[in-house]
Amino acid sequence: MITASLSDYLPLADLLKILAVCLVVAVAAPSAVSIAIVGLDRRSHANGPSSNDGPALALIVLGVAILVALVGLGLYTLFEH
Amino acid sequence: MDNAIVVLTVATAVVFDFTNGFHDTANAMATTIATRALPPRAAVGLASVLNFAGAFISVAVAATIASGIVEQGDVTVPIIFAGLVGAILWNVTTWFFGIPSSSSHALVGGVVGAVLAGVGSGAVIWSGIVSKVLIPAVLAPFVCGLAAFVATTLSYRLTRSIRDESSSAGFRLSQIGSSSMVALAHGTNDAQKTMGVIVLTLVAGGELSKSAGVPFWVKLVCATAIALGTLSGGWRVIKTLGTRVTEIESPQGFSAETSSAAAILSSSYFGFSLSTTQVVSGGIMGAGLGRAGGVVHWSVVRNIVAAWILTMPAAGLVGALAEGVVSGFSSTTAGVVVVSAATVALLGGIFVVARRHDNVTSSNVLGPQPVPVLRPSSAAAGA
Repeated sequence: MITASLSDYLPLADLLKILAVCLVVAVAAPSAVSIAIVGLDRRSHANGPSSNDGPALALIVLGVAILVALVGLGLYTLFEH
Repeated sequence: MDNAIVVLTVATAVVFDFTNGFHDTANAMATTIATRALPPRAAVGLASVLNFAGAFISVAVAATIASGIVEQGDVTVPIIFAGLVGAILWNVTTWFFGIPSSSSHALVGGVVGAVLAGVGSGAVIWSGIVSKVLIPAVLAPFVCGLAAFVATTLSYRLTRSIRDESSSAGFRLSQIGSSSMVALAHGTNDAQKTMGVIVLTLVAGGELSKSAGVPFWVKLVCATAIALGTLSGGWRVIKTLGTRVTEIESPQGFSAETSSAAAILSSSYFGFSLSTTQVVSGGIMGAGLGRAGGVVHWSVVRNIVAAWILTMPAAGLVGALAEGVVSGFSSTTAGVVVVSAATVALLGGIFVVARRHDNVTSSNVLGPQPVPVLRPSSAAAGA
């Protein structure tokens, strides 16, 4: 009954979509930054010039790529709307 | 319609836009300043540039201000003027007390109050107020707060094995990006509202046809006013959001601003107009709760929520008073001039008192710089 009253004023499906988007970003963005930070930290702790920092670099690239994708999505939303 | 009334109302709209900018600088940059990701002046300068740019991105909702809330046919130029006066005075009053309140709600409240006084309750669409203002106002802080809570918890969990310095540096850098997104979205959403008010004034005053769209000079003036307002920095509100609600560390600042950007942009995409201020405030509270040992100062939050509840009635009351004074004069132009002069005097008085009483500026917004404490081990190492 309460749901029916609320939905008269607000499309609940859209509200759930907004909540879902926020939660996805809330998981994706910190994960991306954390991945990049872990990569940077491993790189700075790499032992000597001969050490293989490929995995660390991959983490940095992955983190930054996710962040760039999120920013691109945000800008797309802003311009499209 | 007398040209003088139209000119004064447009000027009042520009002043509102300025107060909107300087009241809402905190939304994007309070956490960035609090975590020292950017120096205060640089943060405010960046927000100013992005607000200016954001104002040119879209004019999609410029014509929808107050639509669905009051009957558009009853909105006259003196009513718009009175509504703006209510919104400006509420914005500046809440700025004086350092309370982040919604400029958009103040504008809607002012216009509704002026319509009630000038036309009557039949011209107010109450169901529109419930669906466009009240329900989003209740939901916004919770949606963003929940997202910020999740993001903060995750940020600390995922970087717990990393040295604090590396982690903080990474989050501070990312925070500049997320704050910038909020500033850009703020410029797009809020400058449009003033553009809508000016267009509505020009149309109601017979200076512009209904189908003319937003003239370029209106876009330029609104973008400049909101940018200059942002640049002047509402340091009192920045201090509240950045330091008084909770003690913010860089992962929290990043989480709060990222969640805010997501909430503002997604709600805008689905056609809702959430208050940037309420979204960001909710985000900061959620980020405060998301850190283990984090403390949210609920007494400050109570004051903020009380101001949110009071925003529409208070701005509406001032809007109604202004409308009453304007219509009390036999000449509407004389009424508008008198109310303008009284508003300028009141604003001047508030700014003078603000400078003399607990003045907050870029140099003291965070309090004194923390003094590094030498631990016994590092002191011994240095000896």
